[in-house]
Amino acid sequence: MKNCHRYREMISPYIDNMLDEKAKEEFLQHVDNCSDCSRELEQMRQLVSLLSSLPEEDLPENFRSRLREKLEDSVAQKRTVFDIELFRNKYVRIASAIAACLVVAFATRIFLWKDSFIAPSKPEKHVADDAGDIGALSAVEKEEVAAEEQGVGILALSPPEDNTVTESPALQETAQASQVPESDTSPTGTFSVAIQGSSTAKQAFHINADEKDNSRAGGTPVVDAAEEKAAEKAEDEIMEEAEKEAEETDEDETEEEAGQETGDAAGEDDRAEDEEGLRHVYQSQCDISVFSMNPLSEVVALKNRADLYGLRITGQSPGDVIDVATGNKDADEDYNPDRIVITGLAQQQGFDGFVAALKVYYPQADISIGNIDIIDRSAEYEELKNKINEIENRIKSITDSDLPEKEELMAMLEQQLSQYCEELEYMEENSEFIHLTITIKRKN
Amino acid sequence: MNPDEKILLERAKKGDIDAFETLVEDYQKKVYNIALRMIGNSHDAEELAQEVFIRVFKSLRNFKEQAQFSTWIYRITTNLCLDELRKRKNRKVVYLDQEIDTGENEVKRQLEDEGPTPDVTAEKNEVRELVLDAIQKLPDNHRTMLILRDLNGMSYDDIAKILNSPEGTVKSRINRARQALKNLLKNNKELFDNYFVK
Repeated sequence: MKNCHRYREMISPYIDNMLDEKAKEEFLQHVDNCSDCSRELEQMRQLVSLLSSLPEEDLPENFRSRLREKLEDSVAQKRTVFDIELFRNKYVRIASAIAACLVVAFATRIFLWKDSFIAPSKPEKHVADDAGDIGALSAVEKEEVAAEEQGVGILALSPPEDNTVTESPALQETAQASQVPESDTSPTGTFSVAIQGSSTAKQAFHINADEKDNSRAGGTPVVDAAEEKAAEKAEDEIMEEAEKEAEETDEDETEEEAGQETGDAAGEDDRAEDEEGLRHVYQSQCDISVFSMNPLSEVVALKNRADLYGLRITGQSPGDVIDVATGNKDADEDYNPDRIVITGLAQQQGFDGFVAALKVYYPQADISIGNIDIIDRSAEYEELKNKINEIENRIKSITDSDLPEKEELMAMLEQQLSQYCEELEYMEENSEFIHLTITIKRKN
Repeated sequence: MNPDEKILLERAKKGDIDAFETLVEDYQKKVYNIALRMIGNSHDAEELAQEVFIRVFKSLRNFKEQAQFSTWIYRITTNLCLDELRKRKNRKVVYLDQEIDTGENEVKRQLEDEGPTPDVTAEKNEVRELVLDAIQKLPDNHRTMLILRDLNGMSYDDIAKILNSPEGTVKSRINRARQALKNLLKNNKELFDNYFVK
């Protein structure tokens, strides 16, 4: 029994040819001298070849044709949205036409007014003086026109009170895009007032269109958006500063939040009367629950998920008690079914992946990251090494002795050794750690 | 990405379904197989695989070309699978062989047997089936590793990219997943004695 645990970890990488020359040599040398590891290697080899011999299943019948149908549906759906856009453009055109009429009427009025003013043969000089007044008057009138225009738009389309919804960059982009051709045809300053009015109306309309879109697709657009965002994020693999990341996340969240404001507000009342206590479903156009069930079971799932990213969850609430603000354990007294807090250790990259995945899993949740410290574990590492040496020595001494409880002791020590070795190996893989606290919370 | 694929991608981005179909043709079987092994039944796996391609189609615009197209597709696949599994756990699916808790003692759920006849079952007892069953019993994280690495032959590097996880982590996860599967198979003494060296 010579540090076998270390070599057991090398079995798979050896089979897959993932060891460097030096490690490979060392490994083979050990296997030659250790019958246990040699047998272990052979069994693992057989398992791997057995696994790779499992046949690939063929695609089900009609897989392609069914997919084709769905794809065509999704394109058709897009078209409907496009139609709405066309209609929207039509509205803009009508609004501009009205504006143009008003401008003409307005100009005519000024012209007539000016005419009647000039009529009683006044000296030329006065006309020049009065030109300033005309300017002043027209400014007032311009405002009136603008107000009128906006009024028309808003009344006709009755937008939601909260205009922050329109802050999304995508919306602004479309607003600007369709504005361009209009302003091309509008050489006068007054005309742009009309555009302003109509674009407000247009934005209002845009909200309505979006809502329609959401309800038709059963809330999926939100998920898509989150997924896309997460995927995008996952692609940017390197991140300079952990804090920066936290900031970005906040920004992302606000955007998402803005998009869902209407839905969340609608869910408020239902939440209060929730019978099951732990189950919360939004009764809105986006019918997605944050934690579909008990956060306790969610935590179990999260632990598995975290493992994939090489994350080690060291504490969680519910389950452990954690102070949300500080991430410290045993300070969190109030059990909150709306919130999961996890603290853990991770390597930067794994952490990024995990957070990106969380955003996909909990599109409706606020995910905040706090208390990120890069920690130096070199002292811990040395300590662990010493402990392992110590245990190995003890095992050696016990093997030679004939204590009555020898076997039990050996079993116990070996178990301990295996734990330590696993930890050591983990530390070797992950030289730099960050300590993190992630809070997943239902949006308010 | 070769020039042909690039052209197809550009066309698919504009909503050309034919181009999209050609583009993803090579991935369909693999995506379906990943889903099948992750989820465990062909009907749900088909649904899920189709959902993957719909998502891919809808979000082609967001695909950044410095990443591999295959990596991107498989990432969406594993994420959707894991998400589906998470939802299932929460939904508390009742399995037919689950024990019913009567309060005093547990009783096996009794159902009329509509399954395969004994000789088909005998066939099912093949090593392969047993291994597949064992894979289904593994925790999600271990199962994911084995499916990507051993059933689909992806490289450590690819897996690391798909899961957005450090390669070192992938390395040890694969080893641990295989160990776990071996331990599960050990419980089936007959299989193990016949198939593996002692």
